[in-house]
Amino acid sequence: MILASLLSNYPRIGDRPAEQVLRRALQAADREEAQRSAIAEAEDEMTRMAVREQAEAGLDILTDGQIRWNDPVSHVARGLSGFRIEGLLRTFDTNTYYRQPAATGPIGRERPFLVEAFRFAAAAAAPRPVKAIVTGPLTLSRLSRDARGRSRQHLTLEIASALNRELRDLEAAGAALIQVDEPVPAWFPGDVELLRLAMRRLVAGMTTARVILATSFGDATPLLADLAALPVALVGLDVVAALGRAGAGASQDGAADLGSRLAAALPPGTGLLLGVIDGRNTRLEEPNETYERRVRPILAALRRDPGPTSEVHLAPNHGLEFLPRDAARAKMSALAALRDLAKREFA
Amino acid sequence: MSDPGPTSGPDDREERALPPGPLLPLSTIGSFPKSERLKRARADFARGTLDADSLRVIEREETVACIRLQESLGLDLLVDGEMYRGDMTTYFAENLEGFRISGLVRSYGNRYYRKPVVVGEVRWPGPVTVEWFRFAQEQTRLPVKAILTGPYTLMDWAFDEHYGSRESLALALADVVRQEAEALVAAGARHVQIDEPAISVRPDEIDLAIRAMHRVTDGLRARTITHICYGDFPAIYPRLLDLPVEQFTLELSNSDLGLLELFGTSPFTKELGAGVVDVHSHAVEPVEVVKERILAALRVVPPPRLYVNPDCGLKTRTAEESEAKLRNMVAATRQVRQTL
Repeated sequence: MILASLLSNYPRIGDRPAEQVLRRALQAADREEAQRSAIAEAEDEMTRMAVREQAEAGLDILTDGQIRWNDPVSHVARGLSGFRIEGLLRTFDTNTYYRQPAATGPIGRERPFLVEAFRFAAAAAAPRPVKAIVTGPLTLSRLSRDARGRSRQHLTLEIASALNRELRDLEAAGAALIQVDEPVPAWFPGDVELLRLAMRRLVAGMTTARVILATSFGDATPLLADLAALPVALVGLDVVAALGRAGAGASQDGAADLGSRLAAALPPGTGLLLGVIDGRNTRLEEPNETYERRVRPILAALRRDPGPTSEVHLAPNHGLEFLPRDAARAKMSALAALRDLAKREFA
Repeated sequence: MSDPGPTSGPDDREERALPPGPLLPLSTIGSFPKSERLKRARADFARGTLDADSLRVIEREETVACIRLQESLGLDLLVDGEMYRGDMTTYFAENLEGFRISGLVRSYGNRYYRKPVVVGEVRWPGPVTVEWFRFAQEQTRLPVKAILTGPYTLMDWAFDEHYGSRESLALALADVVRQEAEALVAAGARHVQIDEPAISVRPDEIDLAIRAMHRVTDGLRARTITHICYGDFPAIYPRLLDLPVEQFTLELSNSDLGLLELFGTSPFTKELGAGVVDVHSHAVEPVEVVKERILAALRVVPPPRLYVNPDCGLKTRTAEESEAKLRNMVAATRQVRQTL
């Protein structure tokens, strides 16, 4: 099965006035000219727009675009108890920022904080499925600080237990696919053992929903053996980074080699989310060339492996919020074209 | 343009020194808040309902007001306030060859900007900021610091559709920034700040950032300063000190003075422009708090090497907040000066 989806977020602004309702609502609330409820309405509207544009582009699995998220870290930390939200830090190597959470008390989760937004997006997207997304415990602990002086392992596992309740609530709300975003392993490969412990806690007791572990912001394929052993249904990889960001220069040999490594490392039945479209550069991929260089050699290597065919999600290697809206739309169309080419040959 | 090389080295101390003045010179990072009037004018210009000359008149008036404000507050090293600039990379991209400007993307929260896209070879078309530097300097007898965005940051914060190599693009931009810096020096600039806020996020590229900065500052006949903020300093310190500039202006307040602890691990050998007020908080820090921050900085560098400034540019704050923060910064610095 070969499907196309976003990795996570989608622009919540555009150049047309209709695409700026959320910005205007927030500005008005800042000036105390509007009720806070106007913000929620604007978020709803921008979420519906993000969902509609994904559907129009022909994607198979949609996201809510994370329109309501200020950043990937503080949005989740605010939903948990035990964190205080502090100053701005840069998000990895981007020129976007996140507010750093500081753990000041026991980390818990008192009430669901992602479920309502999931339900809203699922209703807007129906009949297309929506995947729920949560930032993973390792990334949250790495990007937070512990004002209590506890170890990172302690904080990570505390967060994993707290988020487990959210994942189970998402599952109960009908989320069949839940993505856990963990960009950190590509940056801190030494954390992979802690990731294993955290993931075990995070998915404990889940019965129906399938979990995607999505890495990004770099090449996590050196950790492939460890990632493949995690209790998840799909592993997400930044293929653009794995093949060298030069992109156009990425060779078919490199992609074939990566495909062989994936085929060798993945246990039967484990699917892949392949970040094959560069979500951080406006330069638009030409579908045929990108298919030949980045996608086809990987899928061919996976097919040669005996056993059931892996489920493959073709995606951008990052959320598309780094791009202006017109470029994000064009990238989604390129992604759908890649999916069509892949289905023609491998479905 | 070829590498200028070390032939005209930084030897003329007299020309490069600040005019004799107080210890702990007070300065800012570069941008000041834009007034409602200026914001409206910029929006009207963007919509095509105001012409370039009319916008320029307003920008000049606002620049004069900004200079007067800095003088009246008691700052020692002034800036032009960047009334004519939008985003710090997009402004240069709009005025250099080889770029187009993208649609809106989010920076953080509810802030958005248009990002440069490199679509061809980057070239210096002639002076970009020089006329504004001259204009600002004519308004005051105090020195005005010229502010440029550095080549590594210009590279990192653009979409590259042309070069396909971060190194080639950064070095090409370094040659462009060098030409602008030379033109500023020729126009009388004695302090040139080359902002590199992107430098702290990719430790593996610090060597590239240093090479690019060499192309900008080697032999430049001015005091050179760089501003860096919001990143992973432990990963690049003390290698950071190999950036060929004389002064670093750094954010100390947003990090709860965490940077100063880092300097305990290896001596901070440059001049420090200590950021003593947080530009991302509405709260105006009391004089006592600012004073503590200055005293903390003095435990890391001796008085002759300490400058005092806000964490970062002030354009994200309101005029009232900026003025109140700067007022307390000046008061705290004066109190500390009396103890030295």
